[in-house]
Amino acid sequence: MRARLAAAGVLLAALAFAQDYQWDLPPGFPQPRVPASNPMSDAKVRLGRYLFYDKRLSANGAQSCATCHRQELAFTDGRATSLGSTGQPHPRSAMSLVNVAYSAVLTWSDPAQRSLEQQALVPMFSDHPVELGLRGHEPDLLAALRRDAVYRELFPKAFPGVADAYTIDNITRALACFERSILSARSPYDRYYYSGDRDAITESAKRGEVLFFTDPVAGCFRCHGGFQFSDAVESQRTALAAPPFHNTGLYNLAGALSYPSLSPGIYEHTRKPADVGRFKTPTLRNIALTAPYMHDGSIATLEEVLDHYAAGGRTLADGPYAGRGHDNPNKDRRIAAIALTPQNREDLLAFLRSLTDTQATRDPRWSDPW
Amino acid sequence: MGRCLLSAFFLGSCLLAAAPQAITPAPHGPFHISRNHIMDSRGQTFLMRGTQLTGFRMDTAAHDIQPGGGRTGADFGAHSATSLSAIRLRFNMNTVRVPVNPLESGAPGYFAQLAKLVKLANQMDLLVVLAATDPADATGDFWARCAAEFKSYPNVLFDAPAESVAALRAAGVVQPIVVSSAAPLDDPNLIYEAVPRYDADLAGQFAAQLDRVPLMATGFDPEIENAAACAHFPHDPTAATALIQSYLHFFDTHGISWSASVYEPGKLIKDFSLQDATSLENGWTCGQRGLPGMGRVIEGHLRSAEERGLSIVSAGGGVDVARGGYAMAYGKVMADRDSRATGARLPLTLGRLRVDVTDSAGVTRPAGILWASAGWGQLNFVVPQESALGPARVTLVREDGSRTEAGIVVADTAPGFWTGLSCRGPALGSAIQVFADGRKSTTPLSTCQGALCQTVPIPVAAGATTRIRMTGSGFRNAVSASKIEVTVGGIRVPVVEFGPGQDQGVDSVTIEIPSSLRGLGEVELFCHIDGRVSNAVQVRIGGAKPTS
Repeated sequence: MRARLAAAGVLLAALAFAQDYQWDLPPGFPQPRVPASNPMSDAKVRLGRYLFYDKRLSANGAQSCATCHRQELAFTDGRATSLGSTGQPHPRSAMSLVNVAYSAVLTWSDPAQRSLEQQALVPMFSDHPVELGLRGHEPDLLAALRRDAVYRELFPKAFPGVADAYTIDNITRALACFERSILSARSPYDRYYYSGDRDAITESAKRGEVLFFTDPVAGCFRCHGGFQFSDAVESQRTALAAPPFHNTGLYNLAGALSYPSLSPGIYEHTRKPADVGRFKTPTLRNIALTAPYMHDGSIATLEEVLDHYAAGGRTLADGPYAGRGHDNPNKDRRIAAIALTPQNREDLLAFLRSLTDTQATRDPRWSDPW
Repeated sequence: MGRCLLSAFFLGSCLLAAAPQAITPAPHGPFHISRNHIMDSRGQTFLMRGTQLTGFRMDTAAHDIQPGGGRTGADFGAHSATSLSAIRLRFNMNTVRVPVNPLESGAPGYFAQLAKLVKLANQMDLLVVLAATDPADATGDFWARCAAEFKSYPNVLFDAPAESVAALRAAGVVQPIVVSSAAPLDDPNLIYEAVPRYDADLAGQFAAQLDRVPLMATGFDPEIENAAACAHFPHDPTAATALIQSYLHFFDTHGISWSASVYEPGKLIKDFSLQDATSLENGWTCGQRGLPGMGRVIEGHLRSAEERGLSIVSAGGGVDVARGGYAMAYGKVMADRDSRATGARLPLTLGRLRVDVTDSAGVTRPAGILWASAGWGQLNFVVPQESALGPARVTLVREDGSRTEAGIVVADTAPGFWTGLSCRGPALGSAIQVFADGRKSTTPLSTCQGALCQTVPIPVAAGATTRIRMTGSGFRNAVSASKIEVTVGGIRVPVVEFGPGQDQGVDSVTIEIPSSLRGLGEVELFCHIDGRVSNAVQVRIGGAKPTS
C-alpha cells in the first residue's frame, strides 16, 4: 500500500512538473509528442543540459554528448564521421539535434529507435562502435554525479519524490527532455514564410523556394517537406506508423550489397535486400551549418549535394566504392536526373542557406552551462 | 475531377497585388483617334495589350487553323483557336499582331485563309493588327489587296510604313492605321509605332510623341538569342524583371498600347503544347537561344500579379471566376500532402488547408476544395454560390497558421469547358442521337490515352436529332440558354439546356447539332456569355456532308 501511494505520489509530482513546462513553440510548429512516461519539465530540461555537456559521461572523461553535437554547428560535429571515446570511428555522421522533438525515428538507419530516452542509451553504452564508452562504468558515473553539488540540487528537483533519483533511466530522461527543448525556427525563411516578412530572404532565395517546392523541377519537398523539411516527422497531430527511409543513389557497388557494408542503411536491421541504402531523411534546417553531408559525410559541400541530386545519383569513377549510384536498384523513384541551370543552383543554395537559424546556435538555453 | 488541370508552370510565379485584374477590355471597333487616344465604337478609350503571332504562311495555315490539322493533338498551332484562347484568357490580352508575307500574298486562297484566322481571332475577342513580315516587300498593291479584304472588319487595323498610308486610304481604309514614322504625318487617324530599346532611357525614347499622338510599342523582347541585342539587358533575373515591369508601368501610366514579344516557343511561351509562359528566372546566356523569355512578366502584369505568389483563374483559364463555379489556383499552395476530395460533398478542409473567400460585401465564406497540392502546385476549389459579385479576396489558411492570399473578381458566369488536359484539346462530354422511333445512342466526345486525347466523330444523320452534352463550369448563372452563344466551327448553334451537374461546381451545357453541320469534321467549339469568351475545345462532327 505504501509503495502504491509512493508511486502515485511520484506520478502526481511528475504531472505537476509537466504542467509547469511551457513550450515556446514558434508559429507553424505543432505540439511535439512526448512520452507519457517522461513528461517535460523545466527541472528535467535544466538537468539534461548539464548532463549533455558533462564529460564525465564518457569513459575517457574527454567527451560529452556535445562533442558530437556542437551547438554552433546546429548540434552536429563538422566531421564526416564521429570519433568515439576510444578513437574508434563511427560509420555515420552525427545528426543534428535541432527540433529532434519531432523526429519520428532517430539515427540514420535504425527503424527501432523511436524515442530519445531509448536512443540516448546507444551513444552511452554501445560497443559497436564505442561512442561514449560507458558500458561497465555505470556505478562510477552515478557515484560521480552524486558527489557533484550541482547535481545534488538538480536531480531531486527533476525527479522529486523518488528515493534515488540518480539512475541511468533518469539520466536518459533528462537528456531527452533537454534535447526536445532545442527548437529552431528563427531562420530568415521562417520570418518570410510564417511571419510574412517579405524582405527576410533574398530574391534568389525566393526563386530557390519555388524550385524546391515544385514538381517536377526539383521536387525536393517530396522528402524534405513540411515545417521540419523532413518526411520523418511526428507531432501531437501526426503519427507515423512506419517512418520512411530512402535510397538516394549515393552508391552502387557490385555484388549483393550495393552500399558499403559498414553502413548499408536499414538493411542492417531488417536484412531485407530492398532496404539496402535506405536512410532517414534528415532535416534541412540549418543545413548550411552541418557539412559534410549524407549519412557518411561523404559529400563535402552543399554544392556537391545538389550535383548529386541533379545527376539522379552519384557516380564514383574509382576507389573501393566505384559505381554509378544513379543505377542503384533500390534508389527512390523520385530521385531522377534534373536539369538545373547555374541560376537554379545558385537560387536553390540561397534558399537552403535561408534555413539557417543563427540564433539557435547562440541561444544560451542550449549552451554549455559548466 | 481535375479535368482542367493546369500545367506545372502555369502562372508559376505570380503573387496578386492589391487589386485583382479585370478582364482587358475586348475590342469594339470600328475605332478612331481622338488626340492621343484610340476610341472604340462605344466612345471609350481603347488600349491594345497584345502580342505578335508567328508570320502567317500558306504552308502552315492548314495545321495552324484547322483543329488537329497535321498536329498530334498534343500541341496546337501558332494560329489555332487554342493558342488564341490562351492569349485572350490566360494572358488576358486583347490584341494580336499578325505578320503577313507580301511575297506570298498573291497565292490563290491566301487571303481567304488569312481571313479565317482573322475571324477566329475576332471571335476570341482579339483585335487583329495586320503587318507585313518585311515592310520592304509590301508594295502599294499589297496594301490595296489587304485593304480590299479587311477594310470592313471593325476589329482589324493595319500596321504599315508611312509611305503606304496613302495607298491604304485610297483603298478605302477608314480605321486608324499603325504607322512607323518618327515625324508626324498629315493624317489624323494614325497610331504611331515605337520600338523601345533597353539600352536607352525609356522616357527619352518616347518624349517627342508622348501625350501628342496615340502610341503603340512593339517588340521589346529581350532577344536573349541575339548577343548584340541582349548585351544591355540585365543578367540578374530580378533586375531584368524589374526593367520589363518598369516599361509596362510606363505604358500603363502614359496610355500607350503595346504588342509584346512573339507568341512562339522561346519568346512568350515555352511550347505550343501547354503554352506555359517563358520565364527569366532560370537564367540565360546572352546570345544563346533557350527557354528564357518575358512571358511570365507580361502574364503577371496583365493579371495584376507580381513574382511568386498565387494566381487564380476560372475553369476556362480566364481572370474572372464564377460564383458557384470552379476556380483554380496555382502557386504557393503548400497543403500537407497532395489531397483529393472524395465523397459527394466537397470538404472545407483538405490537406490541412482551408480556403476562405471574402466577397465584395466583406462576407467571408469557406470554399469547398477538390484538390490541394503539396508544395508549389495547384488548388481547385468552388467559389461559394452566395458570393457577391465584384472583387474578392481568397485566403489559403494552413493548419500551421501560414496564409497565402490572392485577389479574384467574382462574376455570374465565367464559362469553361472540360477537356482531358489543361483546358485545351478535345471536349469532354457525350453526344446523344435520338431517332424518330425514339431510339437513342450515346457516344463520347473524346477518348484519352494518357495526355493524348482524340475527338470521336459525333454521329449526325438525317432523321435523327443530335445533341451534345458537355461538362464544364461557370455556366449555371447565365440568364437564359439564349444568352449562351455557342459556336461550332464558327457557326452559332442553339443551346437547349444548361445548369448545375451532379458534382459541386460542375455544370453541363447541351447544344443541338443541326444536320447542316454534318461532315464538318474536327472543329473548334467555344462560347460567349455576358461578353466573356470560354476556352476553345474541339469536337468532331461526323457523318457524310450534305449533298446540297
